[in-house]
Amino acid sequence: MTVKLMEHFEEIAALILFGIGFTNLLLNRNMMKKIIGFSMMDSAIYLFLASYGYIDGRVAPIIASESAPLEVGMYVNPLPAGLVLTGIVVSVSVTAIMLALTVRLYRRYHTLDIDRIALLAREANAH
Amino acid sequence: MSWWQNIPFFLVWGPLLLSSVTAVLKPKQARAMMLIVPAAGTLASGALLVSLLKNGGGSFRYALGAFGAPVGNELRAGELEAVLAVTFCLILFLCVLGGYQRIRAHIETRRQSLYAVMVLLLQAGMMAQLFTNDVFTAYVFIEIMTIAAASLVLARTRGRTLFAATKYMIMNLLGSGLFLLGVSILYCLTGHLLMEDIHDEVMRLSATGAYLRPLTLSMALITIGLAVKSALYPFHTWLPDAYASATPSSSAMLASLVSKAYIFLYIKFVIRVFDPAVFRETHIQTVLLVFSAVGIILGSIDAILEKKLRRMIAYSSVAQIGYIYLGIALGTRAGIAAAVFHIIAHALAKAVLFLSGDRLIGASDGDATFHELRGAGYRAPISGAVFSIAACSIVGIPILGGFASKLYLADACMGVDSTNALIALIVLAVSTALNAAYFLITVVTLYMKPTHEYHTRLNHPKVSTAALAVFALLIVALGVFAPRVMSIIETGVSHLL
Repeated sequence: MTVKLMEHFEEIAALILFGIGFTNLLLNRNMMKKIIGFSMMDSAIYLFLASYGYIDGRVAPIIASESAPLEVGMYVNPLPAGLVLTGIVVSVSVTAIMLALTVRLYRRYHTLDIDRIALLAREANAH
Repeated sequence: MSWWQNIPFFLVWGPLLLSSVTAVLKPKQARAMMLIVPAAGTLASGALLVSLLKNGGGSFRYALGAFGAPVGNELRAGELEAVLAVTFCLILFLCVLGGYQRIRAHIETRRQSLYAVMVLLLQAGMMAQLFTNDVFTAYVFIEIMTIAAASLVLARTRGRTLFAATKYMIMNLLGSGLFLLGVSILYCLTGHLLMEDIHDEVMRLSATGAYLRPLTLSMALITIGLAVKSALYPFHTWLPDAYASATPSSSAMLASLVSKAYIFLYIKFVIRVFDPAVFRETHIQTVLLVFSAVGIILGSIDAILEKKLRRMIAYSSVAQIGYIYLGIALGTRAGIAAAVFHIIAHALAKAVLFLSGDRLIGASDGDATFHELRGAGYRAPISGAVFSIAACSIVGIPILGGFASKLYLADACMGVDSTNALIALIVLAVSTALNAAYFLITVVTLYMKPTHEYHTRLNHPKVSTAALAVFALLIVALGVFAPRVMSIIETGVSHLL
């Protein structure tokens, strides 16, 4: 069991980080910390994917020269890296939107606390 | 390969490309794009459906780019996808048209082209959910849809839309995070991203019984992720604010289209990625059944307790989403076909409820409480009539679309021989009574004698009113031609496997 845990420590670390990020995004009242939680959550998944694609002792799948031998056994799996790159682009744009929303929330309600914002929004609605 | 097999690609790629063109157009031209592109999408997907049916049905796969399967990206289309593509594009077009005047009034002119961009992105996202055969592409378009939908809520700057959009974003990001983790674990287990290939590996795994726990975990993560995004009961907290505060067109699109696209993706996961057999074996089916049954009842009770019209319509969505998941949770072919039929019936009815409901509120000096809505059916006769038809369809009055879908759902329950089916039938019966309680009372209120005079004069363009009338006709047509539509859906579901 412990040997298995040691073998897969990247995946385990990724899942723990995912949990921390998820909890932050869900429960933290501060908008900025929520966004940090979101970044952690997504990065944890990228760590998970990247560690799956990496194979010890092999190199990146780039053909350096015409004469170099083309053996599949030399290279790591390039697909997870492709997924991670795509995922990073997605999470960058989502983070940007969340930050923009936070700026607008702060301008209107002068606070970053989501519970207070909820309260203020409800009050504004009642009037 | 025939020419019409290119249509799914253009259905996804067209709106995506045109959305970036729209970003630099003047507001007037952008508003035109918002109508033209969904209309073109309707025609194109109609052509796809007709060509598919003419060529004897079935499904085909369409490779994208230079690499073929198993590493390349793919689209896939069959009757089921084509039917839903027609429905989604048509409803999107009618939503924009029906709330056109309100879009112009609610959104600053300089921002209207951005609103059009988001509508087109939403269309591209929905088409991608329908046609994609690759689970990671599904994730990317899920995020595109999330951003587009949040922006549609945010477009109207008054009221609590800002808070509603933030809440929407937070809950949806949690959902897509869970979905992505589930997909990543699935990729690690099977080594594939295309749905057929994953399915083969999953069957092999379940035959040997190896890695059953990670498989269950990944399936649970995907289920919860998509359930959050489509507002299944315990995860619906973002829904009432988002639906009730946005401009009516946005509410109609969100309630009738966005959540349905996620549900269809989930159906593809249940049938094409995991197998219905594995779905049953891992007991996720039972959990889903409990959630949907609780959601149907409690969503209806929330709607009964609500004092404002648009929030009531929003809560009724929670109950209706429960119906769709109930059909999926039965796990049989008939159950899933009934769920797809209910997707169409509910999408039609809910969109028109939001659009006509807003007009009825407008005719009552903008007050959404039920007391003020008395007599609104006389002040806005067409909206009142259309609202009543849609409400009756959701309650399940015969010859309307909603009646047929409840009938198919009950029929699917009868086909399953277990206590689950009994629970589902009881829930169906109780919830129909609850639906009748709030929708029929609302309809009666619309035609009661008003307590005082109202001064607002409505000046909606005639085409928008025509859009509402078309909605009402479609609801009736869906009920009348239900057996025909259902037979197409059933063959489509059988080709999914």
